[in-house]
Formats: sequence, C-alpha cells, structure tokens
Amino acid sequence: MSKFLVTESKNSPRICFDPGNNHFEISGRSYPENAERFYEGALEWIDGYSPEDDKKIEVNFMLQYVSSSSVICVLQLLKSFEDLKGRGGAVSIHWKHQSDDEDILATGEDLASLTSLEFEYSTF
Amino acid sequence: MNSGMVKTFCQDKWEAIQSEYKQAEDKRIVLSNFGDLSEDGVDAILMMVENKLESQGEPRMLIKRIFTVVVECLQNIRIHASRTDSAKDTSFIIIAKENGDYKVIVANLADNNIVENIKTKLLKVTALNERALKKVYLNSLAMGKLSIKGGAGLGILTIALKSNNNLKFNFEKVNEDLTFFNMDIKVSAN
Repeated sequence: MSKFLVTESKNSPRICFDPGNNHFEISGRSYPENAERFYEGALEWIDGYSPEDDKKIEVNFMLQYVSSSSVICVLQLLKSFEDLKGRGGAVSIHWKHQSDDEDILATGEDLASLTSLEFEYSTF
Repeated sequence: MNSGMVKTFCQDKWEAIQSEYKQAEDKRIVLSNFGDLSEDGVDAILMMVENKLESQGEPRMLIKRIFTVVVECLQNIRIHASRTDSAKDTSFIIIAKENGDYKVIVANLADNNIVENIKTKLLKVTALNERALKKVYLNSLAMGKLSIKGGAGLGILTIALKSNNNLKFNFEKVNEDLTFFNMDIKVSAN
C-alpha cells in the first residue's frame, strides 16, 4: 500500500504512514479548527491497510499541543490501529513527550487507558 | 438594544476589565483583543500569546497550559458564539498576570436558546473535585464524537483540568435574542 503523508502546519501535525519502511509517525502540534476533517484521510488510510504477516508496526507519537477535538481524533486513530490486530497486524504505540511536558505524557496515559494497545513512553 | 448598542455594550465590558487591570499595581495585561476572532485572528492571537510568554521567561509548562486554555476558549467561541449580525466581532480575550498567576478572560454573545444548556454544563463541571473531573473527562473522551457543534464538552473539561477548576463564569441577558457570557480562568504555574 502506498505511503500516506501530510506535512506539518502551524496548527496541525505531520502524519507519515510509510509501510514500505515500517515508519509510522504523528508529530507536531494538533489544534486544527476542524480536527475531524484533518484526520479523516489518515483514518481512511488505516482502515484500508492490511499489514504483511507477522509485521509489527510501531506508531510514534511526538505531539506538543493536542486540542480537545484532536484528542478525540487521535483516539479514533488508535481504535483503528487496534482493529489492525484483527487483520493480522501487531501494533505498539511509542508515545514520546518533551522531558518537561507532563501534560502530553498524561494525555498518552489517558488514551492508553481507553485502548488495548501496548504503549511505551519516552522523551524527546 | 439594537446591534450598534450591543457592540458598544460588549466594548464597554472589555474596556472596564482593562481599566481594572491597568489601575492595579499587582496586575498587568499581557494581551488584549476585541473583535476579530476569524480563523486567522485566532492564529495571530495564539502566536502572540506564545511569543509574549516566552519573552517573559515563563516556564514551558505554564506557557503550554495557558496556550491550551486559550485554544479551547477561542475554538469554543468560534463554534458556539451567536452568528447573528448583532453579535459579529463582539467577542474578546484578555490575558493578564496577577500575583504570579495568569488570568484568561474571554467573552462572547450567545443565543438565548442555548444559555441554559451552557450554564447547566458549567455548573456541573465547576462542582467537581479533581478526581471526579478527570473521571468525567475520560468518560466523555471514551464516548466522544465530533459534530458541527464540537466534541462532547471536552473543551470545557480541558479548561477546567488545566486551571485546577479555577473557573468563574457569568451570564448577562442583553436583549430578547442575546446573552453576554464571560469566563474568567486562572492558570497557575503549579
């Protein structure tokens, strides 16, 4: 399946889903006014993706601001990644936060509590 | 009250708050904006907030909390403020420093038919302790779906969480169609 790429803007994150290089990343600031519209394409891509057998996907989140409407969309993305398990994929989430950013860490922990995905936390 | 008088009413409210802050020795206005809350206007305000707080050497966590509160407030206004002609360009935001803490004061005109709903939600949220607030936030997030009118009340819950529920609000009926609504949110470094 081909790559999905959205470049970063002042209020929306970079999204890169590159199955060929096993690189999945969402990074930057997320507070677009219409978060649903922004994340729609990414959701559709994940829903259409079937990973190769036994391939473990690690999705890296490196967010600095996440508005409330973006958090809802990120949860929807995570739920879609969860569904990949049913299509033969293994997914883990690598939730990265700036070392002095307890709030983004807390957001990751909140999202982790609402999914069955494996979360790892680290700083950047 | 006709639309010209409505705008003057809101402007007077804005100027009264600014006067109060300018006259107080231990209070200082960091940013103040009346009127333009277009998408570009909001972006400009957010950039100014971040730049000003950084130039004042405030800790990163505090800047992020204030920024988050301002994003939620302004996006709430963009979604929920009245769209009538009288209400055009009548919203405002003031960010001030007061005894080491920051105040984010926002105001907009709301259609009267949604006021009770907003009031009920705010009364419920502000009555919650920290633990209960987090529980309600997680439940709302779990059920959250976005619609044209926003996302499950998560915006106000986020504001309450970032401010340790130091949130005051006031409603003042302006005419048969509109109510002046303002919120006063304290964001502390701790």
